[in-house]
This record gives sequence, C-alpha cells and structure tokens, in this order.
Amino acid sequence: MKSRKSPSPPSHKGRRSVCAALLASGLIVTSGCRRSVDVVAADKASIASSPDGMPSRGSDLTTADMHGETADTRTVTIVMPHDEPTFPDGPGQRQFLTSCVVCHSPRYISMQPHFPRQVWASEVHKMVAAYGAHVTPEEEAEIVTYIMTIRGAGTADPSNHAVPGGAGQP
Amino acid sequence: MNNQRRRFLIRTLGAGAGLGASAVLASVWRHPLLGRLGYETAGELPDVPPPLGMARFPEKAELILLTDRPPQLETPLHYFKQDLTPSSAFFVRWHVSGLPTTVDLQTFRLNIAGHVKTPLSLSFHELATRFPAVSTVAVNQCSGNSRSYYSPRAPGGQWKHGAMGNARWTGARLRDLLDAAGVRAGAIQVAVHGLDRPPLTSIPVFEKSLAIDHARDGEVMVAYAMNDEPLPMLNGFPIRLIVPGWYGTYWVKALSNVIVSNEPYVGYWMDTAYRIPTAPDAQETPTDLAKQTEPINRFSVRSVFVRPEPEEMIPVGRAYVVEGVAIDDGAGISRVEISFDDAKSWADADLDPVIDKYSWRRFRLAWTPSTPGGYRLACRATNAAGRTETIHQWNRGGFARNEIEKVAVTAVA
Repeated sequence: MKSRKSPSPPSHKGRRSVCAALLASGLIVTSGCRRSVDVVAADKASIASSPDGMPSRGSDLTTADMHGETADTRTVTIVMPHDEPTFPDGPGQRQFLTSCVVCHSPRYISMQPHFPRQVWASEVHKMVAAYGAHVTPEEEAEIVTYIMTIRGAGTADPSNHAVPGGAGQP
Repeated sequence: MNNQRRRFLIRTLGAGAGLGASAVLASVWRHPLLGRLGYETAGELPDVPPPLGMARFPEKAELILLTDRPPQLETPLHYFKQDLTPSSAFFVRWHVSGLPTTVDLQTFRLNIAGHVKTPLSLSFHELATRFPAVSTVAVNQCSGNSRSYYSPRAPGGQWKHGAMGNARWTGARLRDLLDAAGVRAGAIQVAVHGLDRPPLTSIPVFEKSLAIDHARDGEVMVAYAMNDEPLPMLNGFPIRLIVPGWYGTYWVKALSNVIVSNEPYVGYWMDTAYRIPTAPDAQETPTDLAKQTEPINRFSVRSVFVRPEPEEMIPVGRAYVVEGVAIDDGAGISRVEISFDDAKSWADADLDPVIDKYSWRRFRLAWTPSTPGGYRLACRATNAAGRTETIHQWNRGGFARNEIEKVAVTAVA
C-alpha cells in the first residue's frame, strides 16, 4: 500500500528531496543500483454516495513489482469504481441509455441544474455535431424529451435562461 | 416531495413572485410529459441522484462527486485552509472516458517530435535524472471553477469553488526538453496531449497548444512530483504539464506527446471548446453574445472565502477571523478588501507572506459583528498589475470567473 504523508509547509525543495521521494516510492532507481520496490497501490476505493457500498479495488490491484523486478519495470494501476446512477423509466429512456451513456455517465445530466428545452436541445446537438455521436435527428428529439423529465425547466423560471449553443463548455 | 423537486418549486416560486405564483405553477404543469408519465402532483417527478454526492476514488480522499465516468471530483472548501492542497484531495477533471488507469514505467515515454532536429523519446527515469529539477508552488484552477454560481446558469461541470488547488510541482523545464530536442527555426507552437483517449474515434483527442515562446519561457514544466510525491493517477501520473498562471485546461495530464510545429495549431479543444470573449473580464451577456472569442488563457484575478462557509452561524460580539485565498496570473496579489455590508464599504484584509510567484495568497481579517442578523460578506482582490474583480461577470461557457464572491452568514447572539 502506498501511504501518503501530510503535505509539508511550502518551501523550495530541491532535487535531492524529490529524488529521494521518488526513490523511496520506487519510481526511479539510481544508476547501477537496482533495488526492490514497494507495491504501489492506491487505497481501497469506495463511493460514499452509493447506498449499498461500492466494490473496492482491494486485492485486484496489479503491480509489476514481482520477484526479480525493479523500479524500472514498475507498473502502477488503479481500478476505477463503478457508480453510475439508475435513471427512471420514461419516453426516450432507451435512446438516452443507448446514445449518451455509451460515452459518459448519466451524472453528466444529473449534476446540471434545470434548463429549458432549448438549452438541452443545444447540448444534445453538440454531442452530434462536435463529438460525432451516432444519433439521428429523431433520436436527438427523443433524448431531449427524456432529459427534460430529469432536468427540465419551465420557461417561466428566469434563473435558468442560459443561452444555448455555449462555446463548447466541456 | 423529494428535495430536488422541492428546491425546484421553491426557486420557481421565488423567481415568479412578481408574476404571481399560480402562473408559474401553471407553466410547470404544462410540461408536456407530466401527464403522459402520470406525474400529476408536485411530488412525483422521477427520482434521480442529487446533483452532488461524495465519493472516494483510487488514491483520493473523499471528494465532491460531479461525475464518475470520466471522473470529475471537487475539493471540499475546508482543504483550502492549508497553504498546500494535499494531493489526495486535489480536484480531478478528465474530458474523455478512456483515461489511463495503468502505466508501465518500463514502456512509458514522453515523445518530443515535430519541428525539431532530434526527436526524443524519454523515459520517466531519464526525465527525473537527466534534466535539472525545478520546483514551484502554483495554483491549478479549472477553467470552469465556480461555474455553478453563474447567473443565469451555464451548462457544463457544475463546480463550486473547489475545482482548484495549490501544490508544489517538481519536474523538468519544458524548455530544457525542447532544447535537448533542438527546436528548428520557424517553430511557432507546440501541441501537447496525454494518454487519455476518447470512447469514439469521432471525438477529438484532448490536445492543447502553447505558443513556442510560452513553451520555452522556463516556467512551463513537465512535473513528475506533486507535493514531493509521485502524482496520483487521477492527477496525471506519471507526468503532467504545469503551466503556471494559466487555467488547468493546459495542464495536460499523463503527458505523452509534445509536437513542435511551424504551422498554426488547428484543433477542437483550442478552436471550438474553451473559448472566452475577448472583452475585458471575458464578459458578454445572454442577449449580446460576443462575436470575438479567444482560447482561454491566463487566470483572472479572483478571491474566494474559505471561512466562513455559506450559511455559517457567527457569534455576535466576538472576533471572528474571516479568511480566504486570492489568485492571479503571477503579477502578485497586492491587496484584498472585505466587505461586511454587501459590497457597500470595504476594509483591507491582512495578507499572508507570499508563498511563491504562482501560488495563491492567503488573506485574513478579524470581524466582530455587533448586532444579530443576516450579513452578506464580499471579497475583492487586486494584483500588482492593477487588475481586480468585478461586481458581475458572465459568459456562456461559465469560464474564467472573476466576479466578486459573496457569502451570506447569520450573526447570532
């Protein structure tokens, strides 16, 4: 397990201390000096917001720090947690799952405020025009309809009158 | 009634006060899907996760979860009470889902190619041992930090103030690497990208460009250490570009390719995404969108309260130390003022010593509220170049915020 120290107060540390840190963590070796290294592993990952707990990375961590290997051959690996929310049934849900969630988490929708239809139409169209999502105009409309049930706003809410067609705010 | 729905209705009702609440409600009920889905009453819209939760990702502390794939994780404000942001708490922002999760240092190389005399392919070991090591404390801040505070709201990552952090970066100067490769005459820019790859081939690889003089200014760095330790994978292990004073979009993570060119750069992430109005403070209005835009670049001057946090209760008649951090693009924060009456009158805050040229600078001021009730605090930074913050700032991307931040607190007896 890789352990992390608390950050030290700011100072201009030179090469020696950082090299020492890299040496200590096994990421570099001094010339001609081959040494075994610690297992690099991240902490167990869990997602606190998940109601039933997340699978931790735990023992499936991989490392090349096997017998006879050195820092020069180190492999660092993390395992990403899976924590995608389930979105409710409704018209357009299947299209939404097929066309949007293939590339990104549905949290890209659920983190947003409630926007009026024109904003969502613009955002969905950006996925087609800028990123080449394989979506027909009819499917685009279905997706917008579905997103409106999740994060749609009525047009009487002036706080959400953002401008569609933003300059590629990723 | 679930909380989001309640908030939505409250906001809708509040916003519509001048119109009459019933008219606003009617607009909600006219939503074309409500009837079809059978959501006839206010409490029964579909239940989805709240906009923000907390999450732990590999090598990271518990952070605010914006998205999980690709991950966008925000640093809780309380970490900014420290001069340096712990690497484990440092914000995370990837653009595409194909981010590196395993790196083999035996095969990893930083490739320097293009308009150079000798293309290089450098191992991590070579980077850390063949070139002079330099170290600097610098703020990294996401272009869209604080986007959720824009009014009207802007689509995009809905960050609060935690898409930033201050760390000590150690690595090799990009200039030294370019000199080793030998930049040929006529080079005008370098393109930089990392190991991350989009899930569709039609999605442009995340790549940025810096002018050659900027890349060779001796400050841009290829960092292999963060706070004197290896970078966490999610912050760009094994190496990332450090572009002091510039927004985080240029700080390419898991940097693998530097391509020198004698031709102007063409690419989505410079030409279409991450554009800001050329007007001062990157300003435009929803009804008068800027015709002229440019790639986002240097940090705006800004300051953020770290204490108090929003809605905090503060005791009347006792000194309370207000504190925060101020950021600029390297000219140096020279003044921070604080208002306790909603930006009507201002008092100078005390500035902590300078940490480093591109570090943030901390400010503090003791305040003793004399009467109970609500207060709106504001903070305004100014830098040595005379740049300051503005009372209202907006652009469609929610970028480069430098609006005077306010925080509402309640003084209690």
